[in-house]
Amino acid sequence: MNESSLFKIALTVSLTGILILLLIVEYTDIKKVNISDIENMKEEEKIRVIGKINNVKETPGLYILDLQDDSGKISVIVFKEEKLNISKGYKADIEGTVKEYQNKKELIANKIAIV
Amino acid sequence: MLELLVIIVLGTILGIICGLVPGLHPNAVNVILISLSPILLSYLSPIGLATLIVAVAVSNSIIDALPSIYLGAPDADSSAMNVLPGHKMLLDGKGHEAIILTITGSLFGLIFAIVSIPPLITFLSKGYPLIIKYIAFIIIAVMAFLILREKNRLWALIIFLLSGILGIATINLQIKEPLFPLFSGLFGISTLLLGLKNKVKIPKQEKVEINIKKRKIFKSVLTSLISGSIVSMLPGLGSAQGAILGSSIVKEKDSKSFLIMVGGISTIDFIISFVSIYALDKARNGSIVAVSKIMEAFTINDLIIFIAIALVVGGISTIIAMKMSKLFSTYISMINYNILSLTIIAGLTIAVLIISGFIGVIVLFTAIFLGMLPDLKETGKSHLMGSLILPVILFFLL
Repeated sequence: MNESSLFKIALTVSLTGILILLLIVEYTDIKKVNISDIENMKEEEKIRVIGKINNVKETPGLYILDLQDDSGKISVIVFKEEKLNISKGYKADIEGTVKEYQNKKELIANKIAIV
Repeated sequence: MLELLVIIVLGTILGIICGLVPGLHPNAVNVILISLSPILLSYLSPIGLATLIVAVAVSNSIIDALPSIYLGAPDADSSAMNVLPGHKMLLDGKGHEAIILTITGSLFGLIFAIVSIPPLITFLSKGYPLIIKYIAFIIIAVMAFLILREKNRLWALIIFLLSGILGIATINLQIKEPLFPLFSGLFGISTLLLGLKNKVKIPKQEKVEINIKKRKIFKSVLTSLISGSIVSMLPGLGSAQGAILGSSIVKEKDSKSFLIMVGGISTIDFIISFVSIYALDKARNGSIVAVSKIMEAFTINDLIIFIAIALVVGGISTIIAMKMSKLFSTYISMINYNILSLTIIAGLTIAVLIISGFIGVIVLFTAIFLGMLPDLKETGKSHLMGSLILPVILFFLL
């Protein structure tokens, strides 16, 4: 095996790694949980919850949604990137990251869909 | 995904920088990254920081071949093994070939180890519970074998025991990152000082196209995989012991095969460490310990992500090492080795003083003198790993 073959193999190995990372990002299912389960979860876990929006509060930098399902309630933080077209009473499917703020778990939303 | 790729690139660059600095171990970079983690975690997610550490470790383990062979200054136990055959080839004007052999081993070691992950998980999870009661005796047997194969057996034993005593004393000292001064002294500065003493003159390097037989690569990397898997179940033993065991098992005397084996075992050891933390919840590599400190749980998903990162970084680093080796082989005879070595020695001593304090510097100086003994008494430098192995044996026995 010569140096140019080694170069090609190294390049293929690198591209394979990138492809695997892309596939993981694309196809990793984020687990759907009940709101009451979030309290026992670790920070940084990525989850999906479905619930009814009880309140929408707007601050200069973010929206705070009160989300409720049959098991409990949680605050969902949505950083303002664009105007959020969502109001009280909507049912939403939210993907986000669990965080802790003032000893309470909350969800930082990454993706919101109205269902 | 974009964030992950940016972190991979940053980690690779950082790994290359610390890989190029002789005597600077990636664990030292991990110490810095972990101590900065409260700040870094406000910008990066835990998986982002873990990605950075993995990228640093993988690129470092491949690039490390450059200073080990061109400057004769290894960073840790694994590189200590390729100094002799690699440096001999350098003095024959074949430094570039030695690098290509080592990084070929590293790249194929990475591929072989990843392909072998499913049987490795079974091997580790079924094999480890079977041997756990006998670990101390197996390690003693392995060390006895390694000492008995030396010509100067008495000094090999003395070096092993002295290193062990220094290791036990250092680990029990109330200093920060005790392994940093210990390893910097045993493997880093001691080799640099001997290089200064020997006043090596490096000849002009050959510029020829390197061609390695596929059979040689396959045999050497497979041997690394087998010996690396066995050693991975024995705490304290690392890639150096794996490489010696492997070459003894296949009775391989050829220095080219040995360099492929050493390159292979460094990346194989890294992948097995990931499998080990997943299957046994035991971290056996400084970088993986750092990752496990950041990540609270280590799932199969994390394992796949880190393996993919290792592939990306491994491929890129191999290409960079090939290109850099050509530069090194052109300019090596122009580098002032003495000034470079003295700068690194001063830098490491200051870093030890900052991180581990004044007592750390005492450990460093003790370790430096001990680290010079193997060369002066013509025994393998791997016996210095007694600094970790003896405490492990006593831990299991007492």
